[in-house]
Amino acid sequence: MNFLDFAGARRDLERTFKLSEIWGYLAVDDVVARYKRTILGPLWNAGYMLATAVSMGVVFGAIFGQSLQEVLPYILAGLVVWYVGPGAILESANLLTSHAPAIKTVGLPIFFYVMRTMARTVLFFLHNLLVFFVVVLFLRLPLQVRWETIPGVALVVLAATPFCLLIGLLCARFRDVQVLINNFSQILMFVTPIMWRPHVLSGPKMVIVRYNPLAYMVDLIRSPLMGASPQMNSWIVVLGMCVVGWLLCLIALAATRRRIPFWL
Amino acid sequence: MQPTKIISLRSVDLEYPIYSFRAKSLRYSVANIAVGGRLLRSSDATVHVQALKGVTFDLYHGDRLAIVGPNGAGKSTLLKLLAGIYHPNRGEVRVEGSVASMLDIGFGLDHEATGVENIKLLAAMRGYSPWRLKNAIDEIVEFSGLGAYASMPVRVYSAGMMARLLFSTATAFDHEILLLEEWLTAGDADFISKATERMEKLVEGSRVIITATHSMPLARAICNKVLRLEHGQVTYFGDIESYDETAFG
Repeated sequence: MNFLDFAGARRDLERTFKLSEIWGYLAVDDVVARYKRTILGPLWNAGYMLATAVSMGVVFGAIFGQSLQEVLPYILAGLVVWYVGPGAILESANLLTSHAPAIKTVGLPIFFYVMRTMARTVLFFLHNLLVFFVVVLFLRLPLQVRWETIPGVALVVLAATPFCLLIGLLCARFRDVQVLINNFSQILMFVTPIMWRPHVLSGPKMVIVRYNPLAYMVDLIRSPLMGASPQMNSWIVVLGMCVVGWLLCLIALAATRRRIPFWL
Repeated sequence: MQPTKIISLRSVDLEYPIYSFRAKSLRYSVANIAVGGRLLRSSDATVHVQALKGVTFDLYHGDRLAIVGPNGAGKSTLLKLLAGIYHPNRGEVRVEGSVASMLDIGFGLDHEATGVENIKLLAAMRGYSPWRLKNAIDEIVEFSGLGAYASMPVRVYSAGMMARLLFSTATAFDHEILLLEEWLTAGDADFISKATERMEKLVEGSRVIITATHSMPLARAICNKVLRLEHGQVTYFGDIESYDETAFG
């Protein structure tokens, strides 16, 4: 058999697609199980996110001389978007290792586990979004969500999905990368405009926004959520990530699929 | 007329790598490239085990195969290959039909979830859509005889109740090819006779059955063919009547 088994990779994706009812069920079950075990279910996570946003809002509002009412919706929207795009990618460090028993026991396709996790991420995103709306209304601010939010979310999720597999594979093969990524995700969050606005950077410092693909992912959803159109560049960059990501994902799956059960 | 060929393996080789702690580290692997491969000599870093070598056989509609051989001969690896968990390095594997793997029937159990929820989880992990299981679930609960316990978390179950739940779920679905690690049975005397009956029906209903077993009496009771593996190679394949286990020590 050749080094790159594209037929096998395609079969993996096709079977995953055919099993969509099943990973869909498991994702819904994850959410329902949380509601059964705790009253607020996934809203607890959203509550944690809200607490982060409020504390950051107080600190950064003071630094930039803005009121909490101004900064809170911005930071909250940033966090909501962070968890569905960049955060989901970085959290996939343990995507395959956490499913190791399943991968070694049942013959489900590998991509199945990516879709299960991604579907759950989207369901959690909807909970977070609800909290965002409630906070905006509570602050008596106008709700100016634009239509671009929907294609924005769709494109971000589509672009993040292949990277989840890539990170998951890398961390399954090289266990020290998992630790590395867990440490780095905090740093990446700080250099991405979540807590601060891009215009506070001037001159050469703009580099961390301009060459940060995660910043474009965030803009693509946060801007329409806050009532502005996303930049054209955000569409282009995230679309580019999507194309490159799926290509890499296909190659990686073709190269490694056979060996994955032995890595775990 | 020749019966339909259901399973066909052609010179299947399967090796698996066993990675050392160092080989699992990216830092070591990068440093290794830098010094020209002296850090990770393949002899101690990654060991390759030849689990199956040149395995070739065909199974036709109605065949019941017993895979026999000493421990570590590759019996479980072969079953996992047929279940689609492992893929061969070389050679060809053709399986026509849906495979029901009963290799680890308790896998996917959530001890906090109820019996009914677990039926759905177990079914989902084996490729059956839980959204369409309404009738099947009623039937499974009915067969298991768990009654009101079906809506309680399985952590309160006794070992016997757990076994009944797993057995009833594992044997509830239609399939064409059945993979068995051992003959399944569960419960008290009453349930055992029901379980035996169910297993017999299952055996009759499937097109091909493959089981790995150490028990020749069991093999002779249900199988018509034997495949003997030693060190990953087939040393006997053919009818069970002409198989003489004493010849292999």
